[in-house]
Amino acid sequence: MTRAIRRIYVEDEVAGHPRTAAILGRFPNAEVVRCGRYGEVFNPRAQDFRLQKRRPALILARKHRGQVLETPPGYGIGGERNYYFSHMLNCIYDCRYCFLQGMLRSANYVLFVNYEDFQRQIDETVERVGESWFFSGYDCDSLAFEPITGFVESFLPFFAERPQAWLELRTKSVQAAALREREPLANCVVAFSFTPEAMHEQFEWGVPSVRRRIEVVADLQRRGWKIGLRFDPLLYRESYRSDYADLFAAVFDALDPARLHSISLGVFRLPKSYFERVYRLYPEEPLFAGPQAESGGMISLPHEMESELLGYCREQLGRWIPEEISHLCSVPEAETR
Amino acid sequence: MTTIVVALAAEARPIVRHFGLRPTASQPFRVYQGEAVRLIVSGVGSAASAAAVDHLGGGRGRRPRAWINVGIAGHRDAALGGLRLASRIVDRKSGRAWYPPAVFDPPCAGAQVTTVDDVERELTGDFLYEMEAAGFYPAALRFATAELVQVLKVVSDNRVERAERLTAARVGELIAQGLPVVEKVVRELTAIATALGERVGSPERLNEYVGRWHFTVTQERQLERLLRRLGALGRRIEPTFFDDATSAAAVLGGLRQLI
Repeated sequence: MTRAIRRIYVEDEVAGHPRTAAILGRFPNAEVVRCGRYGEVFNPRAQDFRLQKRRPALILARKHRGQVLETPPGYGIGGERNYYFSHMLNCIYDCRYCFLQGMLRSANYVLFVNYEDFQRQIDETVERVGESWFFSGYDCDSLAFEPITGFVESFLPFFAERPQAWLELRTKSVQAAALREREPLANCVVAFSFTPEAMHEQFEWGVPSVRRRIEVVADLQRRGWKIGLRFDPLLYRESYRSDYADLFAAVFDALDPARLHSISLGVFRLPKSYFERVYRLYPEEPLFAGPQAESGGMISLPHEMESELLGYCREQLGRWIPEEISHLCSVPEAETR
Repeated sequence: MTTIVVALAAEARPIVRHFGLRPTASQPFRVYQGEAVRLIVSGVGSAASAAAVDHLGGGRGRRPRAWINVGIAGHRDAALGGLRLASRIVDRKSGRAWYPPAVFDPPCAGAQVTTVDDVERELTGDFLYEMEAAGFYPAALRFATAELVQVLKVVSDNRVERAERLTAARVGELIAQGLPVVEKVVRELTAIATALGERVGSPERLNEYVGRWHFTVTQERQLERLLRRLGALGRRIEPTFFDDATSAAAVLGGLRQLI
């Protein structure tokens, strides 16, 4: 991964930030290019996300405002007040269904190095509204870039001292060393996303195998970490029944369902404008070619197929887990931006 | 097709020879053409470079094309003949900056290229100074995605070997030395343009359908998309499948049913 980054853009404003120096130190052979604001590199129109995925660059920047944002109403895993924050934009994995391909113009990784400002806003939020959930891992994977970002290493001690602030880390990574090396946090849920093996192989480029991830989740659960499972997006194909039945069996064979914190489910869906962009990037991709329906500005499966898929998965999950910890995610992920 | 834009005839000559290009026009710009590469001599300066891009940019067809600005540049202390791929282009007059993304293994080091209006004598900082990139780059972005637009410079002068001593022959020599790198960048960009072309090309049998029924512009777009989707699902539908259809709308309806 580190070898793959050949160019690092550094905003002038964070050139002297200690985290910038530490990260640059990990890439001694990368070309360092200074820039004014990250948007000059990241936002221009004439860019091709798919081409850039071949060789993404890293951009070190400062997040100036909006470090912590409210999630849409109805979103969450049981808490009343829900917020999300993104220390990073884009992901080292290349999942064909990912909404980031439709939302962002560039596949370069943007890392906001001013963690202290995120933490200050989290403090201000809790002070203002009381106990709250803070979701990380929507615009990126919370753990996958950990050896470079030190995100978890910085935020776990922070949350450890703030029991009113709940943290969700969401990941497909097996980079769990930062979690294994410390005592579990009572107010942190580590949420792992899964799709069945066949879909993983077809759609999740660069993502560790389902089996390896299950091993890591099981290990973290044994160590006392609160675990969440995210079956989102649920994907449809003819063999989905056996695909999901096998996945659930493998997961619950390794995990103790009684000790799971939460499970969420959501069918594959994208805002229409994102879908159109992603379709233009991957016109040969069967995932975007099959039956689809538009409703409320969203593209998803036709209603009957969606209900069938969701119903089957909920029914299967019901064999292992109580309804109270299962949450249906009907809010399009992209609306949480 | 990759288009190489150079400012000077002296820069053009070794490239034309190397790629076996033939002259196709002399006014308003000299243009040379080969099978996969063409070259245009823009003249000196940002505006001239942008105009040269405009001149060739408006061609028909949707096959993606790559653009490279190749030329000489001055640097404070870099060795003469060294090649640099621009990672940042700054227009000194306006202060605007651009960042050409490199999605391939660059065959040489990167550099900030500063575009100036006149020959730069001070040569301060770790920058390459030249006179075209800030005109070329935004102009080429109107015709291609940024990944297909690159600026490649050969160090021609520094504080010891001053620009005043450069001759046309010396410029040609320097460019000739850099040809292996130029060729590598051309090859990389051509491969990327080809990959992109496969994505945007017409789906199979589109013309057969269009030749058989009358599709409006909107219907033709719908047809193209339906054929592409069916192709992605592994289905090739012959127009004969709709032998009974009397209108384009009926064909479109039939294709929709198949998804």
